[in-house]
Amino acid sequence: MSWEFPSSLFRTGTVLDWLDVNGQLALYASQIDGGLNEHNFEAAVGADLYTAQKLSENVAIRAFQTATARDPATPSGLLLVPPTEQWTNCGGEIDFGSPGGKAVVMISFQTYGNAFSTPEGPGLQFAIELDGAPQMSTLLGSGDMSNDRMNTDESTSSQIPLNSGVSFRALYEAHAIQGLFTVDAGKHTVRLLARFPYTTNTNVPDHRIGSVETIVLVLRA
Amino acid sequence: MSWAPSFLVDGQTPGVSTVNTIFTAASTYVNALDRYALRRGALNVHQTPSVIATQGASFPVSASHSGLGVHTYDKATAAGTITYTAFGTDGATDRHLIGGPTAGSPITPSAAAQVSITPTQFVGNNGTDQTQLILVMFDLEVVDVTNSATAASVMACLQFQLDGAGTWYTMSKTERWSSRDDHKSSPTDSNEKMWYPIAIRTMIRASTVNAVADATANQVSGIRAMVSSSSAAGAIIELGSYRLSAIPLLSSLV
Repeated sequence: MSWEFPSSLFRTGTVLDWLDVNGQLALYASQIDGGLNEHNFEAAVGADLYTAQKLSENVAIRAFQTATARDPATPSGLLLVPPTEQWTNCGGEIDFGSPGGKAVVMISFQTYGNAFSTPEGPGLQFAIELDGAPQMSTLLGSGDMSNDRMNTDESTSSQIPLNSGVSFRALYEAHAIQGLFTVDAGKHTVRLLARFPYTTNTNVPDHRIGSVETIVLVLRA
Repeated sequence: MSWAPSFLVDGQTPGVSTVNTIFTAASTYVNALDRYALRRGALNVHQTPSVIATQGASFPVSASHSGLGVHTYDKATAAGTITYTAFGTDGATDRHLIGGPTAGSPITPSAAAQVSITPTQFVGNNGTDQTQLILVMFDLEVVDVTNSATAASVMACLQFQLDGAGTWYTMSKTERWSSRDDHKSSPTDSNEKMWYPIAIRTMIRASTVNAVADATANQVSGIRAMVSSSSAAGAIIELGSYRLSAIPLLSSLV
């Protein structure tokens, strides 16, 4: 273990400055409360104290999880998504603390979209929200209309875009979105967002969120 | 933390006894730190040492099938009904395991979508095991659902088994449905394949085990994925690639 206190050795005959002693002691105390790491402990001690296994891989993890189970057979019990083009909260919220580093976020969820009565209607797009900001790298459902699904007109054999906004609108679907983020030390919040790519000129179908499970792995890597 | 240092004060003569008392209090506190003190929060996350994410030579474990092979499942190959019955129902009577009977399939799966947890794991810091959770990730491609006149959904869920035998417990939070007809431009066109994904992420923790057994007495020994059809009319499910992974973590769990 590296020598921490006192930072300068007292020797016989040394005239102690009480402010100097206190300052060194306060520094040591502050390290106990936040400044020590594995380098301050012998490997064998650390192995016993922390894991009873072995110390390797420069990764430490804290895990956070929340899960809500909803029966897909009962749409009335699912979470109704507001008919808006703005990102809205769809649950699965987790507050987590980080010492600063990386965070792996996974959100797995069931969707319900009663779109049969309005085949031209939009579906949903999804994203992970981190600290109030949609993380567009996690966007599920592209904004690229050239990828829109096409349907064949039986009478003319022409291809008709479904105008789904390249979104998800099936009666039932199961998705998972995930991302790796760099976060500062402190408290953070993640949750699932959904939006309709457009809501004009149509009745917005009934879209709902079923079971949601959010997993956050905070890494100090 | 429970220790606050004593400080010298202005005007005090820092004799040997006074200084020694301060030093002794500091060293006594450090020497007294043990696993339980740490778990109570004597140190915080900044002091967390390097922790291995997986333990045991066999972890993480995974089962997968890749490539363009299609696994075909129908009522005959499933040796009984593959009809979904109820939310959260345990056991194998109402769902069919991927990688099971494959009659009619052009390619035999390379592995079942089932993984064994060896050695079996207490989840939740019991005994000598330090596993706090098992992270499970499952991805599956649904190719098509045929031979069904009515709209058919494909159901999937994840289950776990305890102590190497007996009931496979369904985690209701992982039950997923995906509907066929609105994934196709023409539900009656047998030439049109869907190739849409079902993705599930979940976490097995002490509370998961405690919901059906005792996390301090029962160990997780296996995890598997199940698939079935909502149609009782003998629907045939065609599945593409899949991967099921399980990673026991030594993480702290909040």
